[in-house]
Amino acid sequence: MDLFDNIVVVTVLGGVLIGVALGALTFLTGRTMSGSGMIGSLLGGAEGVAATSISFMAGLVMAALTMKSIGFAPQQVAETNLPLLIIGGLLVGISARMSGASLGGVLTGLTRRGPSSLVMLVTILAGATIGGILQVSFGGANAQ
Amino acid sequence: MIRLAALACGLLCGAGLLISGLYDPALVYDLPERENGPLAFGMALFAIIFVASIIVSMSYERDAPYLGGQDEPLPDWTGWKPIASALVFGLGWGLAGYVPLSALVSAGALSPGAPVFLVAVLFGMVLSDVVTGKRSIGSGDKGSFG
Repeated sequence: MDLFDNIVVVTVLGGVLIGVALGALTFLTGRTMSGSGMIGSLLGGAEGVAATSISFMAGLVMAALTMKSIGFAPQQVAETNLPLLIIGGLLVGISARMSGASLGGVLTGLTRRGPSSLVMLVTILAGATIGGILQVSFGGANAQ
Repeated sequence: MIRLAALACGLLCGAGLLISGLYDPALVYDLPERENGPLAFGMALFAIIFVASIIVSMSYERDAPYLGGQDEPLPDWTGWKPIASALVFGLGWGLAGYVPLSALVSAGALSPGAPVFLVAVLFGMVLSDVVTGKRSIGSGDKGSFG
């Protein structure tokens, strides 16, 4: 069996890369690897923060093209329908802005401080599980 | 230099999300169905936190980030409000299948729904600012990043 067909191997390999990115971003630039925090910084904030946010987000957007150029074809993803994308996006935006809840932020928090980040992570995962079930029951699941 | 480092970290994070397939929005309902899915997800989370903790620990003896600037403060997550927000954030993730990081990667892979999600996130943030009084419509008030 091809090693790269093993879901545990590829997710752990991906996890290591994400971990290096998260750690390096904090160590080198002091920024938190939070997508919503980065987007939020575009709405105003400390000087220089928006610039690193844009650079980081540009890296994320360019990742697929870069990977393609070295021979890795991104898999086709199954997106949900438009209303759920909009409702989900609004909920994520509002909650992230209200209390700084974000997946990347919570993961960064776990590297720097303990219990409150863990409670946040578990709560986010619980919410995502409920949301996932709701998405299916609303007919938004398009997986082949 | 600091922007170049941020760009490289973005590329690396994006590569990680692409290789692992963790950016796939179907994951939120599909994962428990896959063989070894929950195990793989748990181990990926552990790998992220473990590797990142080792690198972040190198900064404990430093007063400032390696390339200058200052550490971005983490939000205060004590009390019920952040917990409620985390639940709403999770719900949004579950409903749409995306978090902002994965949507940015997916937008780069030309998935049509990801930009819609990102615009909704931005709109939600502005809405939140208006409701909490950080931003009033038509004025140039600036909220803090969060």
